[in-house]
Amino acid sequence: MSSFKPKLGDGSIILPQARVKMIMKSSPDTESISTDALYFVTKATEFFVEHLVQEIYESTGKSNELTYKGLADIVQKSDSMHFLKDMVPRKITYKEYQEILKEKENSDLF
Amino acid sequence: MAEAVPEEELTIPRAAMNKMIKEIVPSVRVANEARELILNCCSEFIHLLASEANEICTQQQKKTINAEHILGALDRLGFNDYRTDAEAVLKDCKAVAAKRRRQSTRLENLGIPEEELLRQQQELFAKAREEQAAAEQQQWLQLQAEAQMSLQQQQHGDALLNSEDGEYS
Repeated sequence: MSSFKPKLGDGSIILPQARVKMIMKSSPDTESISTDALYFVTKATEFFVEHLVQEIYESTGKSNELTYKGLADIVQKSDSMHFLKDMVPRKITYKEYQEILKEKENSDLF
Repeated sequence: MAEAVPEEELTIPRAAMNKMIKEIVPSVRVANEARELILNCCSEFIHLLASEANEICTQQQKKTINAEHILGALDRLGFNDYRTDAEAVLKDCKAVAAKRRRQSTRLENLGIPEEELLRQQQELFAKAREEQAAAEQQQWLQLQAEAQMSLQQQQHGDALLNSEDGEYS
């Protein structure tokens, strides 16, 4: 992972901790969470967003638009973001889809 | 809203997300589709972190997920950078909070022992009570004097009226 220097590293929190806690609790078997732990999860999530956005920004040549494609590309490329690959599948053109189908047909024949 | 939000839709509020993105890349337009996706990625990240931390917590046979579990989870998931930054930020947070606590107890550093302070306080109260009593007394005397005067005037006035009556009768 390339070195990541957060801008949002000044101790203040933007994301609402209560909501973060709700999301955590919807995970199976998550019982109680300490105040410090919740703080860390919230802060880590902020870093995650910042990191994600920054990487997309850099990889799309600092374009002035963040798109689905930019996100999908980063998820495929970056190791630490790989857990998202099921959420952000790369979109393919119909032509590519046809080619994939054809290849599958060919391999099925054998 | 009587219905509970289904688990899959539980995300960070959009407003908070927009604010963050604005701070990170202020001059960039972000497609709505991308925003939606980032929101969902966030939830996914939180779930990932929660379950990893939960595992560590269970391994240690603890009931509550604490900060150490979260930090360990970040390491295990390959988000080591976040861990270092988050720890640094927490240290700052705690330092600021401790400083504020010290400032609020600065009274202790005046060098005057508590008993002396109490004594001074009692003195001031006593003095204030005296002054108040004196002022009230003064007011009371004033009122009495005025009442007296107006009574005299009235009597004098009555006397005049009576004498006038007398002339007519």
